[in-house]
Amino acid sequence: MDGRADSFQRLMADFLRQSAKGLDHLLRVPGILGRELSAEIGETPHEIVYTEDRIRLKHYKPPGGRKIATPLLVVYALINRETMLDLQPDRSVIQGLLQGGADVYMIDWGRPTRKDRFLTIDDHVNGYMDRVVEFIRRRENTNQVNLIGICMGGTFCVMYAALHPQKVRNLVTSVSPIHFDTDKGLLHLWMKDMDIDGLIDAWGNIPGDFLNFGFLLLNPARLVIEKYKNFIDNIENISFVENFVRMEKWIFDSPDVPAETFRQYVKDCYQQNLLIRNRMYLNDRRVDLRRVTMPVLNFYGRYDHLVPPEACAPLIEKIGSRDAQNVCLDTGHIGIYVSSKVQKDFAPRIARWLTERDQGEKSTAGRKRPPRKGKAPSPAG
Amino acid sequence: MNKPIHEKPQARKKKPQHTGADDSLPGMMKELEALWQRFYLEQKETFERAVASGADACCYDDPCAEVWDRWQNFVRDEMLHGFLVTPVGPLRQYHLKLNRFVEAFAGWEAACQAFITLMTQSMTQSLADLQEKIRERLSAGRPVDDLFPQWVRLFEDRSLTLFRSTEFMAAMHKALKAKTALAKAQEELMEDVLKAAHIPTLSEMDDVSRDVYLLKKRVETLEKAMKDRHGRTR
Repeated sequence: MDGRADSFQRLMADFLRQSAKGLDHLLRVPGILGRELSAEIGETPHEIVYTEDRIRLKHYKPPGGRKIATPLLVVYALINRETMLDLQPDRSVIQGLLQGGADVYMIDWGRPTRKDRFLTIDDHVNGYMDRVVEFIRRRENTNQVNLIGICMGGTFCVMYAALHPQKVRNLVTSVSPIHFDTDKGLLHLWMKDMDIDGLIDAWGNIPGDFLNFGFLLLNPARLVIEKYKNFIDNIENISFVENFVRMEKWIFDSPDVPAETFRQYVKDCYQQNLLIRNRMYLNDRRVDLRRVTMPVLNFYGRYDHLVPPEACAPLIEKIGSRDAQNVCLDTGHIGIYVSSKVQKDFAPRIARWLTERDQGEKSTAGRKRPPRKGKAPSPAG
Repeated sequence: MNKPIHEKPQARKKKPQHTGADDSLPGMMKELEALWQRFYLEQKETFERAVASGADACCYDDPCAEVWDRWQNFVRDEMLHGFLVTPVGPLRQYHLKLNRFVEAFAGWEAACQAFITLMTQSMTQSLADLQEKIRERLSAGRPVDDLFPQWVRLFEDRSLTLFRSTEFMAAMHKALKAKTALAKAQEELMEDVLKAAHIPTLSEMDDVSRDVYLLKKRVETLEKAMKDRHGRTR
């Protein structure tokens, strides 16, 4: 009984101590957040070289000179914004690629409005993306571009590479879902029976707020409670607070998703899994993954709860390329871009891989394929 | 003999029997009063039951279900019954839309509350789990520390189990359906308001957007055909 009483006393004392500390931190929050914080994102210098409707094309020049001749086009998802790839100077995929000598272009999908509700996946892939690629080809006087696709952007890049393989030299995908018929991811389960027609007919474009709420619902314990508790605990660490505010700026900056794009993405991918079965059509053109014959580097996160490894890894088995690798990183969906440990290797690895397959292509002398290698399973990154 | 000034009132014609309202103003006031009385008694009873709960209240299984069911029954039997009368007259189509909105709102409220109740189950269960863990440790005389991380883990486990259940997904899809029905009913009402104010409505703007979109596609197709006919520049 004495042991129990002692334990209980210690428990209560500890609880009261922690509560007092937590309250003290909580009271400091307004003061800290009220001061000027250095929390800007997307600060790497760039110029806008192409605009069409709501989209803009950003161009980043490598400061140390160009080491990879083929220009690199980065395609982010339609959900959230591409600023994730340039969050802060010491955590920027864009800067990592620039330091690797790549000449980087990145599509900013902008903020869809009601008038964009009729845009389909075909309009994004064979419309905007293709015109951007054509622009880069003309500007850089090159036949081909390297493509990097992030999440849904990677899915789009795979579709593009299947429909226009002659224009893509190398393809890198990161946490990109290709196989949707898995019950490993909660999102996959929820989307299966979603009445997407009802949602679209009622709302038009899918509101960014709705998507935010859905993502938070996937794991409210970690993504809401623990996250803000950690923030309050570290309120006196200005560097932590600034990084936190940067993440908040990105994570809740959610544009709406065009209605018809989302409708097809849910129906054809999540509900019928047509892409990996080579039965997905973009405006009467069938997407056949076997036509993806260029080298492919496919990253995914072992602990990704949004796009589980089961949704990403099968890409390699389905494409026609003989130079294709899976790389599994010990991180989650956005950990690839925010974890300083992963950051040290992610962009440099891509730059090295692209350099090996570059062959100094700049002339119009014809399309050359990189040397063929066997498909090798890669060790965890 | 002259007739008195105040004539004997004629016998009133009998009104057709129908359940519910007395159409006169005093009759309606009496009904409102009865409605209010019932509402007040419901709230009073609910409150008495809630404060009468004992020390085990923190270990309940389903605390709000009964309260919510009683409220829903009240809404359905009393409030909706008063609102959803069959409309007649030149303004009936507007009345119909208003009825649809009221019905959709009630449906959304019910579905939303059911969904939230289900969602909070994981939190209450995790708190009960934590209580059990603390009890075990105290019984064994072991220190109880890292309560918060432990609770977060328990909450996460309970959440993920709940979110994968068919019951949760059914409640979520039902809430979404109710939300979209409410949005549609709301839009129907807004269309009338905007039309009355000579402001373009969403559906009219959508029609314009669709026309512009299709025209742009046609122009793109024509441009491509012209380019192909005259040869590619690269």
